[in-house]
Amino acid sequence: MTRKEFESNLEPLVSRAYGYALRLTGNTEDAQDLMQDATLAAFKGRETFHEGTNFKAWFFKVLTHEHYRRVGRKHVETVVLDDAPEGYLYQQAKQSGIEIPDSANPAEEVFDHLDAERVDEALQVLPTEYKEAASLYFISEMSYEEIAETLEIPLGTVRSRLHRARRLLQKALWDVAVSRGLVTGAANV
Amino acid sequence: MSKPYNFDCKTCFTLLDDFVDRNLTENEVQEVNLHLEHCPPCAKFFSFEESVLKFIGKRLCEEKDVPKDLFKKICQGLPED
Repeated sequence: MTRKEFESNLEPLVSRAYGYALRLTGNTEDAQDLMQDATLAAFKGRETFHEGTNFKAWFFKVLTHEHYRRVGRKHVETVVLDDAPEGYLYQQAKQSGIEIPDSANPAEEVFDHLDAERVDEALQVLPTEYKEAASLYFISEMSYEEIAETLEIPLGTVRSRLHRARRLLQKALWDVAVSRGLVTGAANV
Repeated sequence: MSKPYNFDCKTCFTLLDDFVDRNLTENEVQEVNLHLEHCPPCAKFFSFEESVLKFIGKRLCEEKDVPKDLFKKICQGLPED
């Protein structure tokens, strides 16, 4: 792959890759440095990319590896969060007396006051392995298969990790909303 | 009189994530949809859960501006062919 071909493949991914890098590092300066290092590493290792395969998943894998190289090691998450049941936001909203509208986007109406910064705050609370999977799903808009390839984990692990990530994210969102006084907390379920 | 669907509320509940991610078989999707047509509480819950995912995705994608000239900057350091 020539440099020009490499750049052509990379350019459409930059925005989503940066969004992912930002969630991995937590700040704009480190995210930009990570993007720079990952781009160089990917270009130098471009012979490991096979034509006809998924450049996006390959590049995000390099980016993920580069992040781990920069932080020193593969971070093994030991933080244990309380799990949340399915439908946590729905249940909490109902218990708090919040009317759930019969509309096309009920969650957006109910949680309209939760802006992007608050949602990102909730994402950052998640243990790394769940944050990675959720970031790739929501920000990079990857399929299960692409996430499996990027994180080098089996498809079944992607599925279970995403399912739990969503439950944890719903709980974290509710906690953020309550802590900010945006909703009145209901009894814990 | 038997119910007009095969999947009960509990079964649909366990299939929720795969349903919203389009990971079910065609037959499973049909069965879930059939249940939702006849069960307003489940329909409301599924609709809400789908909209939560859309809401989160939308918010997370709108938050951060990509620094101007990032692409140019990260490509500047690349060695020539």
